[in-house]
Amino acid sequence: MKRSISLFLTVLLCVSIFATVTTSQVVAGKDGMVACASPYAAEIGAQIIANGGNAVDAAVAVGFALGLVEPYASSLGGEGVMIIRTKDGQSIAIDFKSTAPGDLSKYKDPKNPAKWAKLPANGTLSACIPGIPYGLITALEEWGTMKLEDVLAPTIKLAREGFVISTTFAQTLSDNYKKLLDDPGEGTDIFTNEGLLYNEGDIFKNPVLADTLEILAKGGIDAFYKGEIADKIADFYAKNGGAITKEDLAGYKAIVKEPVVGNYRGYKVITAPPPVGGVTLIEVLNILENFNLSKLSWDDPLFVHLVADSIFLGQVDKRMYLGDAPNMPVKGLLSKEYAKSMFVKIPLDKALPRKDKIDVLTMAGEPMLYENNETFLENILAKANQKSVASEVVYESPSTTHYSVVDKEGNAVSVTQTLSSFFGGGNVIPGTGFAMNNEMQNFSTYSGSPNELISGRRPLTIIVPTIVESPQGEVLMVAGSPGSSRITSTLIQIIVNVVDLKMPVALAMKTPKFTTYDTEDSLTIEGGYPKATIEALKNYYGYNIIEKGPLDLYFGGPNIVYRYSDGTLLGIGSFRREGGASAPQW
Amino acid sequence: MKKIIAVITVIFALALVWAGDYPVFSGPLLITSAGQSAGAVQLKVLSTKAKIKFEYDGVAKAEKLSSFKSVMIVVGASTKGLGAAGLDNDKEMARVQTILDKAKELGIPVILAHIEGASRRGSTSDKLAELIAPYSSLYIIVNSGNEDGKFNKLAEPKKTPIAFFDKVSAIQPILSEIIK
Repeated sequence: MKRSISLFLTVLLCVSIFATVTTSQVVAGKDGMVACASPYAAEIGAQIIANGGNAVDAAVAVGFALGLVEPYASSLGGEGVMIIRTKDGQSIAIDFKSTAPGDLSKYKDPKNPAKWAKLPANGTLSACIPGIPYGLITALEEWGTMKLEDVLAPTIKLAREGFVISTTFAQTLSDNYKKLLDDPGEGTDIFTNEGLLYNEGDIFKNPVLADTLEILAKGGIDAFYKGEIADKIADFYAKNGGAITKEDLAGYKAIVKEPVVGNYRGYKVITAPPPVGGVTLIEVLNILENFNLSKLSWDDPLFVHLVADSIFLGQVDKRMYLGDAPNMPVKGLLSKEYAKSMFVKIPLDKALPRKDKIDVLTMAGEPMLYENNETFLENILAKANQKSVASEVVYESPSTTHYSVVDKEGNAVSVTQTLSSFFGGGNVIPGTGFAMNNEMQNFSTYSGSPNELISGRRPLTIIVPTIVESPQGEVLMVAGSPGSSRITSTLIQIIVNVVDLKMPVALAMKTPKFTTYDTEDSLTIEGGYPKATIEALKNYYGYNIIEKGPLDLYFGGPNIVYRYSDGTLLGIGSFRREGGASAPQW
Repeated sequence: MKKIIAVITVIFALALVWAGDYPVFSGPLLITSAGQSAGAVQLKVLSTKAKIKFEYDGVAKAEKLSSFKSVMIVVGASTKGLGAAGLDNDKEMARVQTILDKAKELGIPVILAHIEGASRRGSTSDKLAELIAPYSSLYIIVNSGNEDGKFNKLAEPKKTPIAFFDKVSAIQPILSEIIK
């Protein structure tokens, strides 16, 4: 009942704020579309489009709005990657991943300064230099049409007037309550109700964040990285044993890159370059292309097995070969000939051994043998064999958010933002109203790893904002998801469900998901699979099965804009995370 | 103005009568969790504000009880909370049972609290409440967690008094009344 009231209030508030857009979990339109984890943020983006902004303007507005309405999943203190596909087909990636601080001496093992200590997952030493303000403002300046103050205005207004706390918001506050109470910053002041938990249906305001966004609106990138906000961040870390300095902030830059591009059964896949998960997404799709999946069904244990083991091999390669280092074998990993060498590793009648039975890194392939367009045949004839650098396990956590935007001109934007963990390291910078990330934990302390902790480098994470083009070369799907290790597996299953199994996109999103990971010995499966499928996976293929409930947030919360061939856009907010879609009225 | 004063006086008088309906417990009070949700931490915050003599230990073991004169067990099962504490349902049930046994052995009164509403009324939370209820001398309940009358039913056999609240923040004043 309370949930219904909360939803009603949410819709009512949204309607009262913006009268020219339509918002729901699933929305159709032709004049632009936004899908993200919050109906409030979706509506802000749709209103920007209705006011004449393009997809980048809307995406930037949504990116900042999510820092208000989903402050646990992304904020000014976070990072992300944006993929833009312009109406004329040009593709751009903006990497605004966070970077390691300049002085890493505090991360050394006190007993053996030659070695790294365990990288902290919480507290002031867990933060990297945030990239979201730089990345979003860069996107706006280069590919947007509106002024920063105009795209920030709706979020500033909402921060002052307040919004209704959703079930997910209340639950996340509850799950992170102690972390907020323990914050030497302002976690308690900003995100608790006089020390107690906010409940679903309560109104939440963040006037401190509104003030910060006003400073940002006036001063732009420099206000955050060199001015008043930088002072507050550096001062907090100096007083509380952190490593981030004002020099670190002043030295930060977002990087405009080429996206990585693949092709899955004629569908072009444009996705995020290293140090995030796009290469793995394409590698796995390339492996899967060798199987005739369209002859199987989503609940066929053979289908689950083939997709699961392909994902597993892709993740092993990611850990072995990817990070923020020069000379990574990206070309090899993206090669369809290389994918054949991984395809032949997958037995049809049993699961590949997991970490309880084998050092999984021995399952990694040899993509360096495919860096110069070598074929699978050439390499098997040469019987190439090359040892590789081992890497250590990197912890990855679930706090992330994704948003997808398409405008009526055909510009498309796919963005995933994160703090790493929910509320990051649990530090809310005094006087700013936002939490800082805890990305430091995602670096490797293994010397020689492509993900090695080095000052200025960006940690390897799994986010995969993606745009899929139809065989006719038009935008088909703008997609991505939060969900840590489940991001890749969920997105792969959605693409396969749409392309191979010909599912409507909403069904592709809702169909139960599964995931497997190189650092785990299990296949985790969402509720909804037939009992016989699970029994076959367990008893015939040999998977260690962990069952979750139906439509479980564990499997991520994809937010997708799908474009039909007649130009109709379908926006779908996450079914697993109370997401929303919004469009200018049609 | 007179009307306002009269209304305030009536409310104040009713509050006193209401507060007088509940047993008074001696401090120091041990606050622990049953299920590792955020409820116990919220009672820690409220107890600090109420300035009562207490200690919070979310994963307290039975041996600790000997230093206390009363114990409050706050029910609310959280999969994440249990995982973070290195517990599972069975281990948590066993830990709570040992606390209840020790409290009975030492004659320490138990207060059951459930303050997180319907979102913490899953099967594990209910099992924990059912485990603790027979040992308890008072229930502290936020109404949204009792829409099905669950705690009234649990209280029925021993006519255990229940302090009902609409909001968590309303619990604070009563804490200083019942913990002396």
